[in-house]
Amino acid sequence: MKLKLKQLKFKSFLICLLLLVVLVGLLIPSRTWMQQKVAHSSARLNSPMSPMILVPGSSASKDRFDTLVNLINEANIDHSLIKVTVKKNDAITVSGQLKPKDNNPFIVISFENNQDGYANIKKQGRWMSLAMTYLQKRYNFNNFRGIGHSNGGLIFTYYLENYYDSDVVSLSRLMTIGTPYNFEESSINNKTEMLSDFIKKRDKLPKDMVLYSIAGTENYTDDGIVPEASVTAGKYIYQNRIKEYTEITVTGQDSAHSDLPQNKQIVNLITQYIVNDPFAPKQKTLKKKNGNNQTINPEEPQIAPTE
Amino acid sequence: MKYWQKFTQQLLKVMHWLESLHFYQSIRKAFAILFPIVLFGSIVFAIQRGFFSKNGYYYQVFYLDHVVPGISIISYGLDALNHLLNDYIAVMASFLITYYYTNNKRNKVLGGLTSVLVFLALNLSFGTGNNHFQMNNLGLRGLFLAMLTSYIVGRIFNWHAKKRDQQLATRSLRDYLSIGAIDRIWVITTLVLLAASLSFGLSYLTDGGLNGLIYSVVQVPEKSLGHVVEKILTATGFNNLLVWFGLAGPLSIMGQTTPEATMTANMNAALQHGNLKNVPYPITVHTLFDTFGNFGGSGMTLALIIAILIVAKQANLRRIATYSSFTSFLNINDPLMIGLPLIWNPILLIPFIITPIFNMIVAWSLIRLGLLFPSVYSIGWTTPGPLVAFLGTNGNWFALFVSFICLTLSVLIYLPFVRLYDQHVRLWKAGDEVEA
Repeated sequence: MKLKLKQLKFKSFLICLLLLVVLVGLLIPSRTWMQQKVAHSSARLNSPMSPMILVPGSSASKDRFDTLVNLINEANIDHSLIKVTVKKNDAITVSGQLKPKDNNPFIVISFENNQDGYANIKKQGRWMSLAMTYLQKRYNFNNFRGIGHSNGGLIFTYYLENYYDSDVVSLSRLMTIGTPYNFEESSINNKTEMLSDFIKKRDKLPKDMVLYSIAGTENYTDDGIVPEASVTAGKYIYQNRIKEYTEITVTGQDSAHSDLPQNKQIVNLITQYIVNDPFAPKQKTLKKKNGNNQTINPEEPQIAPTE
Repeated sequence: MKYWQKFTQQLLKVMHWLESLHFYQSIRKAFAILFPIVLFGSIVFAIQRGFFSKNGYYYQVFYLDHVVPGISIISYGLDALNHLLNDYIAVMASFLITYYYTNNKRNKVLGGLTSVLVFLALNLSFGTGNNHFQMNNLGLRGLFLAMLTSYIVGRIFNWHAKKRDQQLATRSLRDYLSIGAIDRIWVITTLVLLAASLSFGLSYLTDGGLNGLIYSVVQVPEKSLGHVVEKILTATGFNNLLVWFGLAGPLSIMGQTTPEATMTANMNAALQHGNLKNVPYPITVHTLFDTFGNFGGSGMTLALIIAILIVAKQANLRRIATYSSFTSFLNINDPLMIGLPLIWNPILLIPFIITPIFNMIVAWSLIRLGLLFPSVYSIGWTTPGPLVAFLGTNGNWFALFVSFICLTLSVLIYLPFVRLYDQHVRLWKAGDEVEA
């Protein structure tokens, strides 16, 4: 009995030793891993970067938004313009430079295959997720804003419903311009397969997002290509699902489908809602001291000091 | 010392009395049969959680998704195996316990089967849905209900058998068997219908059947625990008591490292400031219980294993502890609960409840004094207990030191009780009476 007990005790000593060795062995790899993770999370959380991601429509190239960016930069501060292209074989090419201290660059994501049709939209949505992963790794931002022209809005929607992960990055505001949510159907009673799929998966849309859907009309029904009814079909997808859904109809000069991104009204809307932050807290009032050391608030009516 | 002697003698007496009960012996036999299944199931569960889940500790730290080809396929396979092995333990237990509890040889199997039917009837899932049963309650979570069911069914079978045996003592063997079986049908049908009606009535009150009712009573929403240390300690004690009974306690249900609001706030504050000095909620269930009160599973069972390996003389105890050491290293203590057993074991109940509370008090005082940083960063599933504090503070060596101190203290607390239990097992096997 005593010998058996000694054997058992020795075995247990070995087991305890083994557990201890494994525990100690785990110390360094897990510490390294945790520190990396924390540094990465910290960089992302504290990152001031908030880019504006632009996606052009079908048959449009990566230079689609050049005029728009120029117009905005003229009136605003100079934002960098970076163009990311995803090839058919998933390769990613980048052109353009990030200007120093620029936290709000324009980044265009375009695709070598920019054809129309639901099947292509699905592929482009997947390529967009690849581009987003690349951009997040490179620029480490935790939030972004989006603009989609025509099919670009559809690609955004597909991306949001199938690839977007709010734990990694958050989309605060999206503007879709002339986006045909029901392709070229002018009646909501004929739902395309894509629209039905979008409506089915609406639960995947981020609840804290704000969407501006802009329709352009040359006449009472369409902007030359996209029926207004198709643009407003977006409400079946987004309304009551995300935080705010706003529809705006733009008419007048430059309201043909391909001219929309240069339309003056739309440029104003983009500047107001996407480039500037409409939800920022009101600017603190400036205080000026006059000669009598009285602080006067310039917003308030000036009262002449009585001497 | 004299008080300790008296106390231990009393405990031994209680244990001895418990072991002499026929029902308790049936539970022991049932657990002994279930142990290998529970062990295998827990190992599969542990490996799946730790190595093959995206949130698993080993998966993350060793980048297993890059190292192991086809890891998601293996994960699916392991998950299926896990459900197969673990989801029906309580059903099996209800059969086995009643099997051993019924007296008459002819009743044993039939009694066991009836117990299974009654137990399932109490876990019926009414209304629309794919499952006919509350699948969550058929595994170890439903063990207490299974034991209760076995007791009731067993007693009724024994009582009925006694009645009928008297009446049928004169008949021939063949007649007896056929008449006896038909007799039982009335008992069986009545029991099952009663159980099903009870379950049906309960479905209007709660979704989870009888088990669900029990849980809704003991459920403690995490928010209400907040950062008040007395509440956290009481909840821990209560949680461990329920686990000891064979139920899943409130902390075990809500736990599993899902980020709570306080934890997210802590993590964000730490990331923004780059240090852990001023997190908003230094005292929470996570910073105390998950970090310092759960080494090896609820009740600091890692310390129990070490204590057994140090002092136990009974070969069986050492064997169980050795077999359970792998899963305990991954914070799963089911094999120990069934194997020793810890469930309904009055001697080991006391350290089971005391050790986590004691450690949490030590941690709480150190955090309050500002000497110890709270654990704020999220860690993977099945992270070894002593490493949780170390990793949660992003590699703070003092936190690691405190963890080891806690582990040592827990082992020290467990030692006398393990010695006592060891003594009891020896005495019981030898058939000796405990000295008065």
